[in-house]
Amino acid sequence: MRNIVAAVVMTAMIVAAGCRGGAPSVASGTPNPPFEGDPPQDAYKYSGETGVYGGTIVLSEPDDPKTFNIIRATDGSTADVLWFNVFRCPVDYRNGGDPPDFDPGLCTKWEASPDARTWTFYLRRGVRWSDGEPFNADDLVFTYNVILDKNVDTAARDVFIEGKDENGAPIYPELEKLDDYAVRFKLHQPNGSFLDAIYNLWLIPRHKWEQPWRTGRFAETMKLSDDPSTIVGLGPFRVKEYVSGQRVVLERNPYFWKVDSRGQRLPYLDRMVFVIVKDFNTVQSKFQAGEIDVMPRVRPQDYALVKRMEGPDIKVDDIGVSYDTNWIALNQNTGSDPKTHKPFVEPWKLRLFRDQKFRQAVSYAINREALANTVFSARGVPIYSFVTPGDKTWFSDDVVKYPYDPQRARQMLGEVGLKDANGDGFLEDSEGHTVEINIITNASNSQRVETASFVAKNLQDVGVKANSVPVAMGVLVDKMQATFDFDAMVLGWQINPPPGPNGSKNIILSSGLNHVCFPSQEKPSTEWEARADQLVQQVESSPDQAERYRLWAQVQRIWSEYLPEINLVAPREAVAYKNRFGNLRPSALPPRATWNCEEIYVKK
Amino acid sequence: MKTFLTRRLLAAIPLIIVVTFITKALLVASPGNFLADLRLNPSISRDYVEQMERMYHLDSNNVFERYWYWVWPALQGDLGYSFTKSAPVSSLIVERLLNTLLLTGSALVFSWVFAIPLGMLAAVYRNRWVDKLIGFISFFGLSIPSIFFSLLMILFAAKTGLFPAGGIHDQVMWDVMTSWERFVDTLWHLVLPMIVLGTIGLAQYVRQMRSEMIETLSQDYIRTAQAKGLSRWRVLTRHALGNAINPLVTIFGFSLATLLAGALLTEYVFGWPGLGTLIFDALVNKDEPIVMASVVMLVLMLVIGNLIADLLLAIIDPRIRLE
Repeated sequence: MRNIVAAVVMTAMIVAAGCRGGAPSVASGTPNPPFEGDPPQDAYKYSGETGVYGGTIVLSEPDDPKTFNIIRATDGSTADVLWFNVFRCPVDYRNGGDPPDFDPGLCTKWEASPDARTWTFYLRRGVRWSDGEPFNADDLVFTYNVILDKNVDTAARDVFIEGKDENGAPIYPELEKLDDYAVRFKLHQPNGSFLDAIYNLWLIPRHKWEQPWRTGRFAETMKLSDDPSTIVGLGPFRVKEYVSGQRVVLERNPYFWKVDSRGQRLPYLDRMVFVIVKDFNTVQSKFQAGEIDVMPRVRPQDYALVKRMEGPDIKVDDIGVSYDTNWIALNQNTGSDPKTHKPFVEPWKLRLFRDQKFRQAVSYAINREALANTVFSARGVPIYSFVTPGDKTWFSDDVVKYPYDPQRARQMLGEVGLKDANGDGFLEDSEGHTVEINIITNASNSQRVETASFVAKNLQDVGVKANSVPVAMGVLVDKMQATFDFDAMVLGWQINPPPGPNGSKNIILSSGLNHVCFPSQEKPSTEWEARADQLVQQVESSPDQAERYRLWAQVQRIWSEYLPEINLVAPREAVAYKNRFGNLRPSALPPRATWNCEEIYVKK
Repeated sequence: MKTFLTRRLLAAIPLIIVVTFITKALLVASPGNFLADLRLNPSISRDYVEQMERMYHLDSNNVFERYWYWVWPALQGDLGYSFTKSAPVSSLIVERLLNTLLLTGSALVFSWVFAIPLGMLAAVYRNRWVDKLIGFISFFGLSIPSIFFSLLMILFAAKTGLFPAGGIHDQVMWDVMTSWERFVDTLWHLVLPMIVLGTIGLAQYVRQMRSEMIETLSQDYIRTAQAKGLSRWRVLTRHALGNAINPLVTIFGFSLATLLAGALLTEYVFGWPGLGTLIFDALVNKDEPIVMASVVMLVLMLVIGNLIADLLLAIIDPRIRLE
């Protein structure tokens, strides 16, 4: 009996191995599913390299999307699947442009008044939603109204806040429909970066969702369990299938509104498949085995290994320094617990942490070059402010730099009154407290944990008793924004397109939730924080781009001088992909490989 | 028999209440909630996070209040909505349950089908090379961490191309496959994770089976049976096996309970869309409705597993009567 079972199993295995699926992606030359209707009368003309129809691109995603409701989406996996691919904003952003910049997408053009208080957008005519219904200004107005509705839980609303009225209620720009294909935003104060805000307005169809929204059921729309054909967008693809824990399949939106220089309609690819794989080692194995086509983010520690896979079929591109930062921040919160009245930071420690010279000494004590060479496997560059050299638009090199100088660090620590009085090798303050700093970080990210240990070792070398304490992510965020119970924290920021002041202001502003050294201040607690706050305001309201760069450079200068975050290293980004894809032009900004998914094609 | 069953199942109710209450209390007491990611996103305001907290009843730290918000709908059969996946918990769990049962069930069959004969073989040929080989296999299975074994298997798959590198079936071609192709494809994806999980189980059962068998073979009645001139095969199967297998049936009951939760690491590495990863993610993200529902399910499985073991024992061993 056992022999029979074994024989059956063996046979089945051999059969299975034999009929392994063929090459998943072949350019057939004919679009399947085919296009429907006519291209719009003023379709967007894509002028780059033309491709052929057909084929599938297979990507991996670490997690399931949480919803198909783009307005309510907040997490990375949902964004990876839906942004650009299924939904579009009134304007596009070319992540891979040089430099990356806005692009007329659904708008043929936009105009800002000279004082940057009125912004007019002219929409493309003849554009259709993925269900074939026409798109016009009413849809844009509808989407904006949904976002501003207090009963709708969306993060996009905050991007449009212009300040508060006398009752403390937030005020937003007013939107006026000029005609079916033109709308005008009237702002209450000048905003030169209003396009950044517009890039959060992912358009949804009025004809589908106005009824549920009016009856207060908007939260129940576009659920993962809904029929995929009801998820209607303006992106080049639409949702075909979602299987929990396994995959999301997108197929061509047959009504997409772009054509190439030969007049062929886009997108070229038939399908995009997101395979859900949690473990990063498995992702690499699947890439090597040819089961997935792109690894949009090769981690620094894996780069050497992945680079060895390069060959006629596989390309591994180094795409330069990331926009993302890593930093250590010292807790400068002067508040105390409202219940126990215990200060968040012990007074003697707080005095040190709030001392600019102490923070500068810490910065000098950190060997950024060695950190980049070890923890980041020689794939990182030292940074001294919150803008990395990867961001060629906003980066300013005119910042205070802290080359590794333990001698100077020791001397500065002496100047702030620290010395090793009891000879135990660690510094004490004048009252005899040993300076001990617990550096917390996210335990689930090995790179962060190694960074924290590295920094702790550097600080021990100059006599500061620093320990690395990895904690769960939830605990970390709780300490950062609610209990303020920490000495120092190692973490990093991920920058989404478009990079620049709008996305970073919550980090800079002293009232910001992510101003880690002292978040959510009522009034700036120091003179330099007040100056930085004011500069952010000026950058926002200045219509002149050159002036904005100049002001933003000043913010970076202040940042590096006063070190609210001591910035450490920016990693280098790399993308690995199958060579058979044309127009695949990786960018350092997410989603890194498929930002121009409608232009990507499979080479014959 | 009927009273036995009713009594055992009724006893599960207070158990479930106590366990769920403790779980909820721990969830409330541990810092942070599922909104951590949102708090960390520079473009999301505090007002929005607070709005979400009120919406999900996370603004209170009173254990009884929080437990009430879960238990009252749960008593009416509503296990709630997942925080992070915005879908009903019951549908999420059912979806993953079948995948997990496929994997762990086949692994269980794999390990028992091989464990019992191998254990017997090792006992009969005690201290000979067969025994040593089986001992080696079982020590290998006991000592290798499942995550490492899984990674080795994935590496093997990726290098040789004989098997797929994880997943439950082909994600790209699945739509165009016939049902026979789908069956074969799933089987093909099942082989490696099944071997990983099965070997680990096998290792434990082989050792149990071997020692029980050695113990039984030294009994007087075995000598009597041999003295009667019965064939060796008959002695082993009719006289020794039935007695030796008795303790293993109890273990089998427990292994039924681990069917649902025991495959986390293997599922994670192989990207197998099962319950283990669902529960793990729920714990990490503090997705309370899923955690609570899975706790209920695990308790139920433990109770039912033990019940089945008791019933099986009653069938195998005539000395045991269920009252």
